[in-house]
Amino acid sequence: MSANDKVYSQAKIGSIAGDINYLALLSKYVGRHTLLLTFVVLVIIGTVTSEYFLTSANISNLLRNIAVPAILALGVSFVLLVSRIDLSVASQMIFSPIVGVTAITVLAELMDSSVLVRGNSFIGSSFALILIALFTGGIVGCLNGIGVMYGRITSFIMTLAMMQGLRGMNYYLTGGHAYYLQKSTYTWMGTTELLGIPLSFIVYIVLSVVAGIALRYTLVGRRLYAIGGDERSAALAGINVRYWVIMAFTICGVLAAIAGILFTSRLQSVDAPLGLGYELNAIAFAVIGGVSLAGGKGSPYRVFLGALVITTLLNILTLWGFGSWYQNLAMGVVIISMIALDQLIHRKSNNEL
Amino acid sequence: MIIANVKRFFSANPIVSLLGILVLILFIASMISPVFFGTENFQNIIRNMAVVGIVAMGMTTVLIAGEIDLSVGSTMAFSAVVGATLMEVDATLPVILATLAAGVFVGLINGLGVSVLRVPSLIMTLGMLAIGRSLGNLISGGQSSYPSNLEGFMFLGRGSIMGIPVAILVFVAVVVFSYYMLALSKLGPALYAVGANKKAATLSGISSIKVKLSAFVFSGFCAALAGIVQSARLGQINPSMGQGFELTAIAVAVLGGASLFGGKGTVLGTLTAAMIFGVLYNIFNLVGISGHIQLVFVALIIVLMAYLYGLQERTS
Repeated sequence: MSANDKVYSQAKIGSIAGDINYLALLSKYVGRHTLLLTFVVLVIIGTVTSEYFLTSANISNLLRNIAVPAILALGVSFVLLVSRIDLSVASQMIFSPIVGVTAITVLAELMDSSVLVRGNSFIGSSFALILIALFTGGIVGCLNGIGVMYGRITSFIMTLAMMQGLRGMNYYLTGGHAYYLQKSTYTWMGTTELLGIPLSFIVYIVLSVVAGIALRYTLVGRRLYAIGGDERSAALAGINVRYWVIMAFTICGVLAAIAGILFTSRLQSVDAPLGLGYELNAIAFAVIGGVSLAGGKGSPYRVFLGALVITTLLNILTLWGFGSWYQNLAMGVVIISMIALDQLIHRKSNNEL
Repeated sequence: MIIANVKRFFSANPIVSLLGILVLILFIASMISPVFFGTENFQNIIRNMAVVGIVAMGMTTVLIAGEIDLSVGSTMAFSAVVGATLMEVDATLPVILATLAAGVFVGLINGLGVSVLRVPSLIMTLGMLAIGRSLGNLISGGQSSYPSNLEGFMFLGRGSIMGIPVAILVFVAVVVFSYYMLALSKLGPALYAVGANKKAATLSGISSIKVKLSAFVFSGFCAALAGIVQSARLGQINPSMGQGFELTAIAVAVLGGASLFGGKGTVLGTLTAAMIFGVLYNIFNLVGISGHIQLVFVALIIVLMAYLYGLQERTS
């Protein structure tokens, strides 16, 4: 090899290295703010291509569409944080209000009165319904946690069985007919807007902020992140792993019940086949937001970003006149490519299940 | 005490215990219903089991390789719909080949995404679940097509050879092939090795990319085959077929001893678990328990058996 060649090859290496540094800087920036940048791009596309995108009606619709799946995703992210998974949130979401209606109906029948009139319209107390629904959500979540921690059943299988079982119960309890929930308090929740912002979205933001503060500044967060990071070390450090994992599942259950109340108040009815497949959307929101399936990583803010990006994308597709088949297609492509991009940028070891 | 002993026996001899449970259930069934052991009822059981069983065999392979495939249900529908586009040719072979090719293609994409792009399989196949289902709907316009003109196609679901339903023969063929692949071929040990410890397998010269690709391709192939059998049985190619099948297939494979953490699982175990599910559903139907309560019972049984296995969660 002559001296010239050597100089040439060194110069080449130098220029490649320079490129890599520049690229690395760019990809680091993009990597850190992928979701925000995607959101900005989507908003620009939406505004340019559709005159309806920035109307208050569309924005309120968009926020409404975020709220319910994002609350589910927030709950799932608690479970993912401790490196478990919850597939049962969608059936829990429907199960909780159904139990509420059924319990009040049974109680009323014991007192010789009826709260179901005119073809399954529910006229009992909305307050009691909500209370029972929240309680049911907590119990179901707690059962999931107990099965996983005390029964040592893999969370995937435990919550899969719970999902199927609750779906069966939903059909059994409703007898396959819808309950109509048209009391004024209940419909108020589904229709109210404050300054153009739907109540369900406000509830979601409040829950998200509370969860964010709890995870960042309190004992709850430190315990959960520690368990998700390395469960054995956490146990050796004296953390009651069983208690906190069951707690994560219980929080997830209560959040699923809240989502269910908001969901059914918007529809003004509850029916067994509703919410099919929502569990997968919830997991997708959380994972796109950067919550790791391996545990220990993620925050409510990231879940919000994930939900925002996906829902905005779906909203734009709707405005363009693409039906739900195209939307699901886009959602699948986006989930895969987002995570693939993330893996390319970070190139860390493969996250197994 | 008894529970602890039962648990210990169960974790130590999973297949023996599974066979024991199967025998116990068969015994209970024969007590409950006099028609249970009739040939017709038995054929019914196995025929019902065949579709789930075929999908579960593919799932077992993927689970052994340490991955998961949530897309099988929509792959069933997608590939059958792709095959249906060739139905005007009026010949069975192109339809079946197109269907199987579509399944293999989906498996290939899944495998590439997981092994080359390093997308976690849960996410990769979750995305594919959505993609496959919507493509199936878009291609077919959401409409079922009816293959009743294709005699060869219908034969796969409804025909029988020497009194044995063809659906069962297809299932048996899949079982035999899976057994060959996992227990006798070179690929088998590689699958277990990659699933149990990917790094160690790679260091000992096994290409984890090739192994994972093969697992996903086989799973896609099985899903497409199940799609054919299901369509032929029902006499229609329905783009919404197979919804929720992925979870049933996973439940069957896991109860058969496959681990969600990879490196574990056998053909015999999955076969026995599939039979247990088949017999259980049959008993429920004979006794007259409604479909919704069946779901609840099956959920309870899954939890109970998973508890007996004492599947420990791996934490890191």
